[in-house]
Amino acid sequence: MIIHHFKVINMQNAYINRKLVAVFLLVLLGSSSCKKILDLQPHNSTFTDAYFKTGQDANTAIAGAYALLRSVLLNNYSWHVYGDLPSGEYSVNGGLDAFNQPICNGQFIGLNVGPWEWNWQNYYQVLQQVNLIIARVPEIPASAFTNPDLKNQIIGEAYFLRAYVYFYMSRIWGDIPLKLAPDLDVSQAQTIARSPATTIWAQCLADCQTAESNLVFGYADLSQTAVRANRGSVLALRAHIQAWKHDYSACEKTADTLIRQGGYQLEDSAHYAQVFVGKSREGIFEINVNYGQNEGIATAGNGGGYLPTLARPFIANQGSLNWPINHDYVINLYSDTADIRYAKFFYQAYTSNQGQTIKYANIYYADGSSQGDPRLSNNLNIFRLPDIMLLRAEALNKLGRDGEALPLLNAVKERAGIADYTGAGGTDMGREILEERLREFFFEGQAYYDLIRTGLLLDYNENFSPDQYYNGGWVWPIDPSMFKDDFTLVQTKYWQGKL
Amino acid sequence: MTLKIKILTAASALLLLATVACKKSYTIGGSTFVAQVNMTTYDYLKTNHLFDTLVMMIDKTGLKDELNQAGTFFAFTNYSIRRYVEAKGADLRIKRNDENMPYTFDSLNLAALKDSLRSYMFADRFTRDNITRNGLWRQSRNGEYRLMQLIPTSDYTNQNVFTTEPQYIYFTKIIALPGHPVPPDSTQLGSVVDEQRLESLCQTTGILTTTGVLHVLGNSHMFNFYDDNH
Repeated sequence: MIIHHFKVINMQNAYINRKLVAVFLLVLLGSSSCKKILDLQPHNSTFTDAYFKTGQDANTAIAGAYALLRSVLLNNYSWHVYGDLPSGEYSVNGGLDAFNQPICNGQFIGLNVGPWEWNWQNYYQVLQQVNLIIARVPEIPASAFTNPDLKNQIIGEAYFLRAYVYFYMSRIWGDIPLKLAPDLDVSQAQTIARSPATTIWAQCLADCQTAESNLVFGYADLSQTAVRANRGSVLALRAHIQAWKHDYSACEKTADTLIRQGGYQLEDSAHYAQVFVGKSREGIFEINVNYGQNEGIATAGNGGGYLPTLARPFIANQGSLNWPINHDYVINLYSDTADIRYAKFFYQAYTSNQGQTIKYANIYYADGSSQGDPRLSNNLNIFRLPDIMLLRAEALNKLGRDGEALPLLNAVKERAGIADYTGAGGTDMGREILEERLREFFFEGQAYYDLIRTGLLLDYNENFSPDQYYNGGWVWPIDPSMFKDDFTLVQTKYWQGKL
Repeated sequence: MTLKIKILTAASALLLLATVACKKSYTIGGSTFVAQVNMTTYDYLKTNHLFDTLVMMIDKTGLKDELNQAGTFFAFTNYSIRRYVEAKGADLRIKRNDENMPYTFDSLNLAALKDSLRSYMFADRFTRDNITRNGLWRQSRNGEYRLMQLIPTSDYTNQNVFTTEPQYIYFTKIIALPGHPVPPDSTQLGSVVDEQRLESLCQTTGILTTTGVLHVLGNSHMFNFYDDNH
């Protein structure tokens, strides 16, 4: 009995003791937090007035914008998923890549096609960064830059990136929300409805205008070649927007200025590989992917990269090929077997179901001894000279100026070692120009948009549903989970009720 | 009552499991796995319909005895021959400018393909035990060299779980490209570039017949590596 009683007292004491300790701690905390140990200005935020004071700040911010752009284009392999797969270039092996296999047939919804392809939120991160630069960098005095030209350059690059991202998005989703100012305060972020694609393009062209006046041709610092935008990159973008709008007379003039004044030239086909490694003489705009700068694309471990068009012998230890080429598509397209591109872009293309695309196959092994941890070191080509040459040829052909289009078409053909075009003009020639594009830019994220722009998708991808194509289903649906953040959004018309 | 039934059911299920599980553990497909088959290579090929076109080719070219003398044979399936016939036909239709020219298995000049068949035969026995990662560069029965490699793969495995990776056998023809000749011997293999290697993965390896070793090339292989010789 006595022992028991004692125990109770002891427990009570312990409880009181705990209370005391807590109070004591609170007092200690109260007294020490008065000593101003917190910095009021976060060290690494770009969102406060502490940032955007020097040229260095602006330069870091634009580098961040390029890094964000790289990540959205590479994320989920989206550059190739949007730009290449629905064109019919590949016969993805459904057993190895069930997510991307349906997309080859134009199936943008279904069991395995996920919201990650429908969601554009990451793109607005790039746009937020770019809008921030556009809003803040002009306020930095030119004297804060090491070189006064740098301020204009960075502003020009920001306008270019904004135009590029909006144009890229409008080709994927059609109508998209247009947002031209940064959100400085999350609590005041606005919900914005989707603007018609025509409004987006008008804004893109206006941004191109601003970018062009701030940028020059060529590069003072050669290490920035093609991986940072210059006036050439802007003109290439503008020509693409104008062609997409079918404003061919404007497109032809823009492309002509770029070809004449840009200082670019076609690489010799002996150095084709350099075009895809990057920073070649024909590179107009590229995303930097360089193992030497520790920025290769890693596939092993948590690298997150994906190299589905390659297997042995181009990647040691990779026995299976996730994205074999579509044999019939390739054989029909490269009917001239003398085509240098057929030999340089493909490996075992004739072996009907295991053809590899080796355009981007500059692999290094981080684990050299066992050839493990492969890293890809090829820039992502966004615009290069033959693209603009063929785009101009396409425009001239549409304008009925076949005579001027022919030398451009033949220049690309001659570089590839195939015979000049001798067929008829008009539609026949238009088709030949398109096919030349499909040959030259195989697996460069262009084919689907080329086929949409020229209206010939169904001729090249027989699995794409005509009903979907003719009723506006060639654009992707948007992710319903975005509706809860922005109640003004509505699903694309064709996809309403289908998800 | 219901509780009793439940217990009874559980107990009988356990009992059933115990008796069933005791039967024939460690067997695959009804018998323990053996690599040996008690037949000659030729006879073994005859038992599997995947090889009936191959057997037909061997019969018509009279290579049955040579096949059974070979220490190692890389067999290819009907698919590989079909691909070859189609590719060859497509090529001839272009060359002769006759898009309707029929071309079937009957059209093959089998006498001329005798040496091509021999390029899959080797005098010595090559198994997983003596094929290496760097590869054996060995002369086939037609005089041309072929590379045999045993290569670890990360397919279908998780590197955090598997300490040793599974390995595939590859059968490779090396072609000459401008500036890159076919290596005269194995010491020159290091200077071969990836584009020169026409690799074919083996789908089944190490079948031991009474006359030699049989490896089976994947269905995506094309007979004679035809038309991948770029």
